[in-house]
Amino acid sequence: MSASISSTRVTSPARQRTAAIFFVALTLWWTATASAQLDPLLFIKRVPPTVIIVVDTSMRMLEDGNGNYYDPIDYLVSNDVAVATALNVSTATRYRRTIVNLQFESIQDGGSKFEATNIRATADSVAAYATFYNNTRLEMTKAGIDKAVSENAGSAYRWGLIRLRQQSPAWRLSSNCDKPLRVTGNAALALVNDSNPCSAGSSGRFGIFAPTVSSPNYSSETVFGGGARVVAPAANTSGSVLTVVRRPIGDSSGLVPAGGGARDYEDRPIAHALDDARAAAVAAMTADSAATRICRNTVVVLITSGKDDGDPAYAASHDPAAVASTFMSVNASGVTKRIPIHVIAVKPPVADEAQLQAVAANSGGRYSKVTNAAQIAQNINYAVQAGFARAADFDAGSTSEFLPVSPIVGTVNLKGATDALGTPLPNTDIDANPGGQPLPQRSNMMVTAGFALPGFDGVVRAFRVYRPEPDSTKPTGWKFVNDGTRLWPDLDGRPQLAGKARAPKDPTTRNIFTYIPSGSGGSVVAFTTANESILRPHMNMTTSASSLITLVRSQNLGAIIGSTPALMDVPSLDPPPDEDYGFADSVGTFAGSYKNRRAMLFFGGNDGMIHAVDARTGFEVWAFIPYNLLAKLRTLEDGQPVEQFDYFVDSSPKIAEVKLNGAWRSLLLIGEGPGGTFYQAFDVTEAGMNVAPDLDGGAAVSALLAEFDSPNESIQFKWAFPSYSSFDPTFTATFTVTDATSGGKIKIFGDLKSTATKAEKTVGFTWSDPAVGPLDPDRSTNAVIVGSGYFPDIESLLPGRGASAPRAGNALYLIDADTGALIGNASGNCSTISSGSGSSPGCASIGDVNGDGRKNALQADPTAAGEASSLVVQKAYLGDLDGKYWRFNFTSAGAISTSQMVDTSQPIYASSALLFIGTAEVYMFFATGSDLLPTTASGGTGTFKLYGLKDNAPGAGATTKFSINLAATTNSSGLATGERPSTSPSVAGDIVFYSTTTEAAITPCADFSGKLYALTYVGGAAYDANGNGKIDNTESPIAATMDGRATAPFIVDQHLYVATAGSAGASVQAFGDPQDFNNGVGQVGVRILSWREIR
Amino acid sequence: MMRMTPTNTAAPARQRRRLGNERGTALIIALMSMLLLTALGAAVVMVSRTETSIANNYRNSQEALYAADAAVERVVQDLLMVPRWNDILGGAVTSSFSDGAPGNILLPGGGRINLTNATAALQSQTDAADLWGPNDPQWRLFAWGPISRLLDTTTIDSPMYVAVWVADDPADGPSAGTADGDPLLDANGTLTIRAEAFGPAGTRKVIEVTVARTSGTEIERGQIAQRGQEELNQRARKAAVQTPGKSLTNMRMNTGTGNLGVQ
Repeated sequence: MSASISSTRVTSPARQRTAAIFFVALTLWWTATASAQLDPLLFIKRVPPTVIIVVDTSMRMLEDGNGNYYDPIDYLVSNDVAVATALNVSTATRYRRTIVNLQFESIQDGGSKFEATNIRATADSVAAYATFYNNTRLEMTKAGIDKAVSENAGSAYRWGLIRLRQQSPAWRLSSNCDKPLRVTGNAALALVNDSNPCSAGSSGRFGIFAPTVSSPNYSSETVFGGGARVVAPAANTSGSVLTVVRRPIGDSSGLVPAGGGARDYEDRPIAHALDDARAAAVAAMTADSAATRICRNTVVVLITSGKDDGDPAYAASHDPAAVASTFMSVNASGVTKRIPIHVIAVKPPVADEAQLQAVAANSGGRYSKVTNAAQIAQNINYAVQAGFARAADFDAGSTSEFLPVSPIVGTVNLKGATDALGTPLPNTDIDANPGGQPLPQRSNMMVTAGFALPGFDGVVRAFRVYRPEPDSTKPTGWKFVNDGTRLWPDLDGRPQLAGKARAPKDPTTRNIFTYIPSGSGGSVVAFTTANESILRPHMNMTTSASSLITLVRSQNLGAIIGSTPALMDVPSLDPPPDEDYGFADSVGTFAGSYKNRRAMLFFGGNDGMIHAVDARTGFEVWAFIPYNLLAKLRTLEDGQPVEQFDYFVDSSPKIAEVKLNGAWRSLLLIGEGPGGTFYQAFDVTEAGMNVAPDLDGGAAVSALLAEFDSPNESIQFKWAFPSYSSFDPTFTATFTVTDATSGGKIKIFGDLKSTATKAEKTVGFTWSDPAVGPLDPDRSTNAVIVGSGYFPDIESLLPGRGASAPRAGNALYLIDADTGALIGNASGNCSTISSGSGSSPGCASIGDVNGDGRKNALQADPTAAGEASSLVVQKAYLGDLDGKYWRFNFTSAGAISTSQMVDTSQPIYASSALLFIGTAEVYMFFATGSDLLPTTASGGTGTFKLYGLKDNAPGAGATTKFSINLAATTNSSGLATGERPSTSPSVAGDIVFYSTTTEAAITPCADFSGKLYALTYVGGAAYDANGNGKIDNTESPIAATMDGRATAPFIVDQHLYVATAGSAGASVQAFGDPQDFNNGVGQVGVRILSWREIR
Repeated sequence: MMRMTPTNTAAPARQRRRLGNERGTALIIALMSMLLLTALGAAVVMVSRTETSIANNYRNSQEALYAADAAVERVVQDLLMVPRWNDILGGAVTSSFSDGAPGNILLPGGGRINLTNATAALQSQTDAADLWGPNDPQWRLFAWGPISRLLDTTTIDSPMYVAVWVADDPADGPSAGTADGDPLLDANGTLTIRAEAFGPAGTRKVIEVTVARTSGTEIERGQIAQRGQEELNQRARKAAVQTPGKSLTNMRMNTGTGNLGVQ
C-alpha cells in the first residue's frame, strides 16, 4: 500500500483535490455520549515511537519546485498602479507575486542581489488568490505534517520538530523589502519598477519579501543553534507541533523559510539539522523511563527542498551522509538504538537526490520524492508506522509482521504443486497401500493473514499443514505428519512476494469492480480510469478521479486486521443434504458440476476491497469495492495513520452453500467491521471454474484473470444491506467521540439518505459476522442472521437521520439470503425496533441499559442452531455490550422472540461457541471483555470471566455451569494490567477452548502472554497441564502459555491453531498429535451400532 | 487236564506240589498290571490329547473371532473412504483388502473354499429365511484375504483367513420404520456387515455387525463451515484435539520461515 504512493504520478488535479480535502471539506466537531468501542490495533500501541520531524526552512521552501518563488506578501494595487498595470492586475485591489526562476546575482551588493526571468501576479479577484501559497513546498509540508500529526495526536505519541539553525528568522514587513530583484524576461516590467511601499530603484528592478535571518544558517555550529529545536520530542507534544505548523505565512512564531545563499549555493545546512535531530533523540531517550527506553523506537523524518548546502567552507567540512551513518547506532543511558532517517524530498532538484538517498540509506531509512501534501503525510505516516514495529525488527531494519486474526485451515488441490521456492512438494498425489484407491488430503493448507509494519501491507501466507509419509502400520499405508512448508512460489519476477498472496504485477490487469446504484437497481462497474466519469460523483469528487483510481489500483494488498479469511473449495465431500446437491460423480448435481472448482480464498482488506485470491497460486483474481466505501478511498492518498486508522473492509467473510429457488449456490457474505455500515452478498458459485484445478504458473493466473474480467462474470453481486441505493456519498464529516474510538474521531464519508428504511437506519458498523441457514424444512427460506454491529452516538447529527432517527446498533436481523430483504418485512419498516425495543418480522431490538457508560450494541457474531435431527435453524445466541446474553428464537415467517439468558454486566464483544449434549441440552460458552478495549473505556477494566451456560429451554434463562475469573484488569495511564479474553472460544469434542491476553503496565516492553484455556463443558480442566500423566483435582485449565497475543483458537482435523505475534515475530502455534493429521479422510465417521456373533 | 492220586497222602502232596508251584503268577500279575497301566496310560494320553485338542480348538476359535472382528474394523475404515455406499451395494466398489479371484481359495490347515459359491450360499440362506421380504439383504463380497495381510509387515502372526460381506440394513428407509424395499439402495447411512474367519482344523467364526454413518464426527471444513449454519444444526461437532486428559503437544512455526515443528 505504501510503496506505490510515493511517486510523482499524482498530478496537479490531485493536489487541488488534496487541498480541497484539507481545507474545504466540512468538518463537524461534536462530543457524543460515552460508550465503549474496540481498537483493533490496540495491541501494537503500548509504546508509541518518538518521531522527530526535521523541516528544511531555507528560502527555497517558498518555491513550488518548478522554479517559481511565492513572494510572501500581499501587494496593494493602489500602492503602485504602474507595476500592477504591467502585471495585468490593475483592476484588482490586492495581488500576490510569483517570481519565476529566482536566483542570486553573481555579485551581491547594494545594487545587485536577485535575478529572475519574470514576475506573475495573482489578483484577489480570482480563486487561486486564496490558495496562492498552497503550491509552495512550505505549505505542502505544513499541510502534510498537520494531516499526519493530527491523525496521530494521542497524548502517548511523542512528536518533535526541528528546523534549520536560523538566527532571528523573520518575515519582512510591508516596506522592508529585499532588493533589488532584476527581471530579465518581461518587456513590460522592464519599463517599470517598484516604488511604493518599497522602492527598488531603476526600471526593471523590484523588491522581494524573502524572510530574513541575521546570519547564514550554515554558520552556526552550535547544537540547536538559533532555536532549531522547535518542539522537543516528548509525550503529548502533538499540539505544540500543530500549533507551529498551523501558523500562517507572515507569522514569525511559525516556520520561517529564510536564509542566506549565493548564486552557487543554498543556505540549507542539512548536516546541522541532522546533528540536532540526533541530539534531540538522545535527549528524548535519556528523558524516557527505563521501562520504555529499551523498546521505544525513534524515527527522524527529514522534509527538504534539496540537499545539504552552504558556502564552500561549510560544504568542505560537512557530509550529511556521514552524519546519517551515525544514526545506525545511537546510545543514550545505556540503550543503543537505530534511528532511521526517512527523507521526504519535496520536488527536489534532480542533482540533489543522490545525496538525500544516501542519507536515507546510511541510516536505514527510506527516501521518497513527493509532489504534494498528501504524499508528505503519507510518508510521515509511513515513518510513524515504522516506529510501531517491534523493537528488534526496527533495530535490524526489517519489517514486523502481525497476525491479528486466526490462521485457518482448509482443503486445496495441491497435486503437483510446488513450494514457495518452486520445489515440487512430495507425495501430493498418493494412493492407499495396499488398496490403490486415491487418498484425499483434506485440511491440507493453512492460511495466515495480517499486516506488516511499516506500510500496513496485507500479508497473507499459505503453508502445507502436513506431508504424507509411508507407514505400513497404517491401514492406508500412510501417515500424515506435521509439515509447514511455505507455498505460493514467485511466478512473475517478484521473488520478494513469494510465499505471500499478491495482486497481479500489472495493476491494469487487476479485476476490481464496484457497484453503482441507479434508482432501485444498479450495476456492477469496473473500477477503472475508463469509467472515471461514472465513478467520480460516487467517489464524491468534483475534479478528476483518475489519479485516485490509479493509486487505488496500484496498491499492494491492504492490511488485514479484522478479517479472518474464508476458503471455498469444491462442494462438500460429506454426505449430501439432498439429491440436488449430490455427489462428486453425480452428473448434473451441485457437487458433480463443481467438483473441479479451484479453491478460492476470500478476505477483506483495509485497501478498500474484498479480495478473491486463487488458493493454489496466491494471486488475486477479483476484488470489489463496496459502494459506500468509494467516497472514503481518498483517505488512502495520505497513507494510514496508526491512531486514526482508516478502516475499509475489516470483517470476516462467510461462505455458505444455500439452496436458492431449487438450486444450490455458494454465497459470499461479508460486512465491513469498523470500516462501514453495509453487508454484501455475492454468488461465488462459479468462482474458480473453467481452469484446471492443478494448473500452475503464469498460465493459471492469466486464465483465472480472464474468468473474472467482466462485471458479474464469475462472481455476481446479489445484494447489500442496507441497500446501496439508500446511501448518499456526498456527506462528509468528522465527529469527536468519547467512546474510546482510537483518536477520538469518527470520520464519516457518506451516510444513509433520509429515505432509508427504519431498519436500515438501525444498522451500525458491521462488526457482526453473519450466520446462515434455512428457516424451513424445504429450504424455501434461507436466512442471513446478523447483529447490527456498533454505531457511535451520533445519529441525531447526521442529516439523513436527525433527532427522530432510530438508535442504531442494538438490533438483530433475519435477512433473506436471496434478496437481501428482511424476512417477512420486505419494506424494512421495523417500527418497533426503531423505538428501541421489541421486534417486527425480520428484526428485533434488545434495547439499551442507561447509566452503564456504554451504548449498547449486538457487536458479536450470532451463533445459530436448531432442534436435533432438523436442518431448520430456529434460534441464535449472542451477547451485547451491556453484558446481557440472549437467545433469539425465530419462525420461518421471520417472527423473532427474545429471551435473556444471563446478565453479566460486562460487555460481550465476541461470539459464542455452542455444544449440544444429547438431543436437548445446549451449552453456551463466551467471555466478557476484550483485550482490544482500551482500559480507559467503560467496561475496559474489571475482573472478566469465561462463561459456560446451559440453556434452560423450554424453561427461562440459563444455568451457569462455570464462570472462571481472569486476573483483574486495571488501568495505568492507558495501559492495562491483568488478563482479558482475546476473542471468541471454540469447541472440539466436549471441550471448550478460550484464549486470553495477559499484560502488565509496569513492563510495557515485555511480551504479552497468551494463555490457552481448555475446559470440559462443565468447567473442569480438560488436559494434563502439569504433565504428571493424570488430571488432578487441582489441575489448571490453562493448557498452554504462549509468548505474544494469541488469536481465537481455530480447530480442524483434531488440531488447534492460534496465531501469536510476540517478540519472536509472527508465529503459529498448533496443538495436537504431530503424527496424526488428515483424520476423517473421506467422509464422516462410521460407528458400530450392533455386534453379534453368529457362530 | 489234572489227574487224581490213590492215597490221601499223595493227594495233598500233589496238591502241595501243585500249590507250591506258583511260578507264572507273577507274570500274570505283571501282565495284568501292565495291561492295567497300559490302559491307564492310554486313558491318560487320550485325555491329554483331547484336552490339547480342545485347547487348540478354543484358541483357534478365539483367534478366528478376533480375526473376524479385525476384518470388520478394516472394512469400517474402507467405508470411511467410500462416498456413496450404494456403490458397494451395487457391487461396483470393493475393499482394497482383497486376495485376488474369490474362487478356489486355499484355507489354513488344508481345504479350499470358493467365496463366490459361499456368497451364493449365504444369499440362499437369507432368501430362504425371508425375514424381511423385499428388504432381505443382498450380500456383496466386499473384502477377503489372510488376516496377516492386513498389514504389510509380519506384525500379524495368524493363519486366519477372513471374508467380509456387506448388505443394506433391512430396516433401511428414508425415515425410521419405513423400509424402502430396495436392498440395493442405502437411504439411511446404515449397513450390515458379515465377517467370517476360517482357521486350522475347520475353525470358523462368523460375526454380524451393523454400522452407520455418524454425524457426531467432525465435518471437516475450513474456518467457516461451507454449508453454513446447517452443519452446526446437524450436530456436526469437531473431534477432540488429541487425547483429552493427556498433555497437549505443542507445535510452532514462524510464518517467515515455515516449518511446523514440535516444541
